Amino acid sequence: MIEAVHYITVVFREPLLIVLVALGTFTGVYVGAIPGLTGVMTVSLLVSFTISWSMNNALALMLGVFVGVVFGGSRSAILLNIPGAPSAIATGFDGYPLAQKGQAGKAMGIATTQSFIGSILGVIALAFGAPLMGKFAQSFRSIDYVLLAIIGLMTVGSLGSKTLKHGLIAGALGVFIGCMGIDPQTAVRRFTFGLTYLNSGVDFIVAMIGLFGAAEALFQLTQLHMGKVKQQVNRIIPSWRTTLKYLPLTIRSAVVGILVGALPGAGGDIAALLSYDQAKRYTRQPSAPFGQGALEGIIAPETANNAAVGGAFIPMLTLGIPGDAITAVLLSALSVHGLRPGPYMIRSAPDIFWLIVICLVLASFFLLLFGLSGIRLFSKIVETPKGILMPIILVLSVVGAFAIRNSLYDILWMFLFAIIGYFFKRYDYPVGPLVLGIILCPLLENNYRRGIMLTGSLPGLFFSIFSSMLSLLLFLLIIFLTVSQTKRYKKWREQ
Amino acid sequence: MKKSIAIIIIILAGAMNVVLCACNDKTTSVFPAKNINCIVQWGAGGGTDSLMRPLATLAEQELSSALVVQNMPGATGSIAAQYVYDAPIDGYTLLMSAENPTLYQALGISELTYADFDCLFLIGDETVGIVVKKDAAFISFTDIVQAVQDKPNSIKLSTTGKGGLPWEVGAFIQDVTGAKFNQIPYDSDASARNAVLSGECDFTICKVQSGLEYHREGTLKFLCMFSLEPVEILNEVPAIIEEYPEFARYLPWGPFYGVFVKQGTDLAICQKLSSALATAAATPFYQEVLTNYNINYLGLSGLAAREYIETWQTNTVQALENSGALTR
Amino acid sequence: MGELKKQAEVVNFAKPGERVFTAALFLLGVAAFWQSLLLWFRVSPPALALASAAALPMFMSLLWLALCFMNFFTITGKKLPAAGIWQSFQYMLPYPLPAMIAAIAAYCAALLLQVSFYIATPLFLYACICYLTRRGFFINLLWTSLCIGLIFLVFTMLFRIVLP
Repeated sequence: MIEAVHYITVVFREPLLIVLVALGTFTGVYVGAIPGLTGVMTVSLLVSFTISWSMNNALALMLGVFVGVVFGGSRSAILLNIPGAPSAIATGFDGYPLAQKGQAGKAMGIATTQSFIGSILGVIALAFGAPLMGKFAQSFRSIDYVLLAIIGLMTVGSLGSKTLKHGLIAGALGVFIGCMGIDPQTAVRRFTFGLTYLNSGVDFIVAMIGLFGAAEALFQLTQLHMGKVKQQVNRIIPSWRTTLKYLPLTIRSAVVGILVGALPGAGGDIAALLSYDQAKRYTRQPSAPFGQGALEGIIAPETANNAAVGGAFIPMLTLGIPGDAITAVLLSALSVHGLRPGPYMIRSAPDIFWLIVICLVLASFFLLLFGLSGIRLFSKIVETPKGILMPIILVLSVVGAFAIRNSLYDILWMFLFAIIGYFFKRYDYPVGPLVLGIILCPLLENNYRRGIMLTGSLPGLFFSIFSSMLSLLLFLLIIFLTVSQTKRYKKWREQ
Repeated sequence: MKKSIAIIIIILAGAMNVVLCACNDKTTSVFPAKNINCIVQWGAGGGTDSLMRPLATLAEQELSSALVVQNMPGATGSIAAQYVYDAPIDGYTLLMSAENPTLYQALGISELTYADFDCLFLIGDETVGIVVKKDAAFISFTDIVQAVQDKPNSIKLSTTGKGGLPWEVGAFIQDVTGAKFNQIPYDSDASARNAVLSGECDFTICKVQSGLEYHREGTLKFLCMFSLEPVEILNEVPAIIEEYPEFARYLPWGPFYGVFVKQGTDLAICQKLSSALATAAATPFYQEVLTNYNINYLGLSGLAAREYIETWQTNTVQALENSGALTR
Repeated sequence: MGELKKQAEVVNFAKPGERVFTAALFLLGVAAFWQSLLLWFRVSPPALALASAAALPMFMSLLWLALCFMNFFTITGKKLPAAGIWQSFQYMLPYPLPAMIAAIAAYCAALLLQVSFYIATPLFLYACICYLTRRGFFINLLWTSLCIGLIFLVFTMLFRIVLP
């Protein structure tokens, strides 16, 4: 315990670290806010950039960027309905309608404070629960991942669709698209039509930029006649009373975020969507109907996605397996400096472990600072005439799509998704489940096939659910989620 | 007044655009005139990536141009290989890869092989071993083979997919001992290792650097090393030939890592890149990286590298054909 | 046009062109299923057919076209608005989209034909802004330059991404 304090106070012995965390967080917030720039790209560049630096300094900078970027995506999601990062996809569902009502400032303010709280809670889980949570992550078998993916796909009903059927169609389409490319397990080409470009499949960020960014821009162009919405920017910071009122929801969302983040292969993006779904299901009287500016619809995903940051470090530091895309790059950064994260890192390199903890805490505070500042300026962006703003967004989408893999074809695919997304929006088909399908496809498919290979048959796979407490719990959760949507259950609850 | 301001702004804007276009003028004669893209075949944070990023950063200093490292994992690395092959043959796109491309054609993964690439620098290779969970019933490798012979298909080997390291060694084992395993593919060698830790699978093939710490702590144990002699750092673990001497005809064997460029690239450019990489690899910093990862340093390029790769390919394909993993 | 939309929402009318859209989705689903079937026969079956690379695509495409099929029936149940083809087209692609899509197509074609990003993009941006706002032609140049400048600064200089 005493050594932990010693390691934590390193930031006071090396104040440069504090500056670097601040710089990183600032960069992250703005990188996240610009659609097209991703955190993975930024952190990858920083790994090479900081290779000659000391490990402490390099880590401080990169951790700041990580925390910043997960939050930063909410800015553009709220203002433009274009998530700047995959973790902010759910934030736009209620954040944007709030902005349309002139309350962008309020939305951004609450997104900031909730991200801060979620981030701190995630770090606490990391600091005190890492070994335990590491075991939790390790106990996940293939069947458990399949059940988790199914739970994820069940959220299609909540992601902004009027009918479940529409959501399912979008989800099925999304999973199908996710299957395109060279199959990772058998190296067979699936649906590539002879195009070498498609060998690596469709990148979900291209899909996200197209479906949420460019499609939205096209859709909004059809509403040019609508006037500008004047933004109220006086009451930005939510009152203490508001924060306390939503505390139960905050805790629930943080738990979802930490648990999902702690699983290798599932990160803030999935956590945010699952959290939004649980908020939608279990909030009796939201401040506004979900999808039309409910505060709960911002609180849940924003808390969860930042909590998932702390959570994502758990498998990285205890199992050596990245918890999400950015921690994968951080793993490489650590190993370049001679460190190999694994179950023993907490014991063999406690200084690095506690450095990560304290940097994440500092980054959270800087998030609060940078997040709350500049809100007024950003709110003005929404007041720019659409005729100017939308083409700019289209161009940023082009650059963003290209920047992922330096491929011109990504730009074409992005526009294709834009057209698909536009028609979906036109006919009230939800776009969220489409992206969710693409994100969840690898998780679902690889684990399903592995499960079949391990147990030998479909019934065998099903019955393996009963051989583990965890699987059983997940299965019961699925049953509960299905049943709680039926009318019978709702009547029963009202009694 | 307003109009003249507007005109000035327009002129400035136009000038800026012209300048930007000029900046992007690609016709300069000295190589390298712009950033060089380095495409890593496997994921960020993995074994290949961790070797390549430091090398790229050190080589940058020799070349006075940035080496931008990008990961393009997927399809056993063939996506990255195809990308580099499709890129213009000007020396600005490099492939940073492991041993997998030697088998693409044989496996039907891709039409490409290392014959389509020139090796700028072959970094080194490493030794791998067989690992099981700490309280597994197997005391030696022979036990595993015995278990399979008693009950066919009962032993699960976690792999990284067709063409990956565990799959390759699995084929060698099948050729020599006749043992056939139930192979379960995972996304990365870390996941495959975790599958053994959690008990989902019985054993896997692990590189020294990935399994060392676990072996020391006791959660995983190396049953034997796939080599002619025990490895220095793990000298209590026997070499596989002590139990099955027939393996000797395939050893020494191990995954290797190198930097490649499309075949036919201008020789002067290749030489410049090779020497930059060689200088970078020779630095004490990088040598320490190699020691940390237990890589056997080779430092080959040109003809010597080509010979090494061709021998490796022939031996491996032979073993895979003998074992039936590959059809002739 | 606005009338039709209001009607659709109140009296459970189908939206103009909705049948076409649903039919298109259905046909796409059929194509997807067909491709999955072809894949199923192409892939050498693993020990367990259910673990085949074609298993999930088949399931999903089947689900997809089945749901679209059901949707089609719900739509024919809804009252159809008195909308002709031209009106449906106007609903699907109202002003300014036809022009915008043409501009996007031209922009993509330019990029594919190796036109430099820094030539094609300002032209595209300026043309779109002018078309959409129909005034302030000088100010639009400023906006265009600002945007391109920002992109240059952030992407090329900071992130070292070589734009085409």
